[in-house]
Amino acid sequence: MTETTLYIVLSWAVTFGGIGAYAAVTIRRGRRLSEQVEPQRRRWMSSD
Amino acid sequence: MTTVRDARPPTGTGSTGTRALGAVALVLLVLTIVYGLIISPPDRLLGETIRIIYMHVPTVLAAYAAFIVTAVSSAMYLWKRTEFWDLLGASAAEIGVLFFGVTIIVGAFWGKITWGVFWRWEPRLTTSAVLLLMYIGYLAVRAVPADTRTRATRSAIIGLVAVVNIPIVHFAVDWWRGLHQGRTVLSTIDPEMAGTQLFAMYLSMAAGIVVFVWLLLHRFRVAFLTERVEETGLDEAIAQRRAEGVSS
Amino acid sequence: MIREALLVAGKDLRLEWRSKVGLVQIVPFAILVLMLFAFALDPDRGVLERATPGLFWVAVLFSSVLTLQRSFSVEAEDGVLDALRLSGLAPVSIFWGKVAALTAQLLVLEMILAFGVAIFYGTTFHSIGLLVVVALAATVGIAASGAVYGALAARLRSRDTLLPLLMLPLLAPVLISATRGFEIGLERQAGGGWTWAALLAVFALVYLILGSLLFRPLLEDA
Repeated sequence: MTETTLYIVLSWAVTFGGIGAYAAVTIRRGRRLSEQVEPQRRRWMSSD
Repeated sequence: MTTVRDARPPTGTGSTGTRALGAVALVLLVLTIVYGLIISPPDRLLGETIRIIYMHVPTVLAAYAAFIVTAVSSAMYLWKRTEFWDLLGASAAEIGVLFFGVTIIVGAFWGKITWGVFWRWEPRLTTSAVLLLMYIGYLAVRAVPADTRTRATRSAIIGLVAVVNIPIVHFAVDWWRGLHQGRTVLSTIDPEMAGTQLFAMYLSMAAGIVVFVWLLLHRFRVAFLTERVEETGLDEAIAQRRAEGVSS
Repeated sequence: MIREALLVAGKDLRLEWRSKVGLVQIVPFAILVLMLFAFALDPDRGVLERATPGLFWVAVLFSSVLTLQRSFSVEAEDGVLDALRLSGLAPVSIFWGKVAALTAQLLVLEMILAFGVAIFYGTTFHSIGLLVVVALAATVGIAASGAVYGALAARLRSRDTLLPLLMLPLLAPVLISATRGFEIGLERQAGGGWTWAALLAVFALVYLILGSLLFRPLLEDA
């Protein structure tokens, strides 16, 4: 594998890996948190 | 129309909207992979390294979009003083730092191939590094426990100061480095880029923006739920205090 | 408004004069930084001489962060910020007073540092006019942005670590411009020094305006 190929693979891996991991963590946090909040308070927006 | 699914409260931060967006994002990402890594030929000027630019440009685009959302939300918060703008600004800032961090790492890989070094004090790189540090400061202040209104005001002010500082940093760095090296190197994206490469670039940019919006929706809802959980915790603590007060 | 601002500035400067922390802690620290640079960069090889403008401004930046921390932590601890807020003074006046007091303190510090580089680094000063304008514009810029972030960080529990993280990236353009301006002023480099002075003036102006607008929510809620 040439240096160029290595860094191309690395940059795609960093982008997909980094953002993918963040997305996974966010979704899991959302699942865990939504269990702790009563449904009627689970409005997504609020202006109070 | 009530179905069994509706009777059960939704778990997680997904909704019809995010699921639709998520599907679009997935399709765009698959197409980006197919076009960016397989179909698109090497560029006339950039050669194979154009495949790194396919990751560099969409992430920086999404990061800038995120910082714009943070700036607008900060101004709106100071005007309207609503939780919505506070949480939106903070969620966007976090995603912006993530995308921008990826942009800079990917840019360093590109530099390693093109220049032989990961980092050069090139105007755009330098500006980006300063910018990233400012938004890391924003997140650091948000991480300090404080009551909601205080934290929101602090964040909004930093969000505004940071965005005002961007053009100043840009000019300072540009004049300084411009004296030594002439035009910036990263702007050498082939102006005559056409056909498949241009299509792959647009695909990746579209994918970047859709992924950003999708993430922002989820992150905003997580922020919103976090606030509700903290409120519940506070209510319970007060109730407990009251109960203790009665029994003693 | 000007009278109120002078009142606040006078109060700050009197406080500073009485406590002498600036004089017995921050000034020696700044001199110490100058000496550390000499230890790190061998003085015999001319590196120190070439780098003098940059080293001077790095020393100013570090000492400014200390000055800011000092100026606002005293107030947060003694509840002076709350008192100021309740005093009926307009937030704008408080902001301008703070900026004036900080500018005065930092200018004194810079003069001492200028003597420091003249003695330790053997610097001779040419084009005094340019140097003075660059220093003035940079100092007002540091004071204005510093007053905003100083007030913001004053009541943060981890302000000692957060303030440098917030301030130093913000001041990156000031460091770049002031250093370039000094390089030209000290005839280390040829070029148009006034462009840099202009950029510093823009920076100062932007933060004076921003601070005037933001100091009310800052005092009330942050």
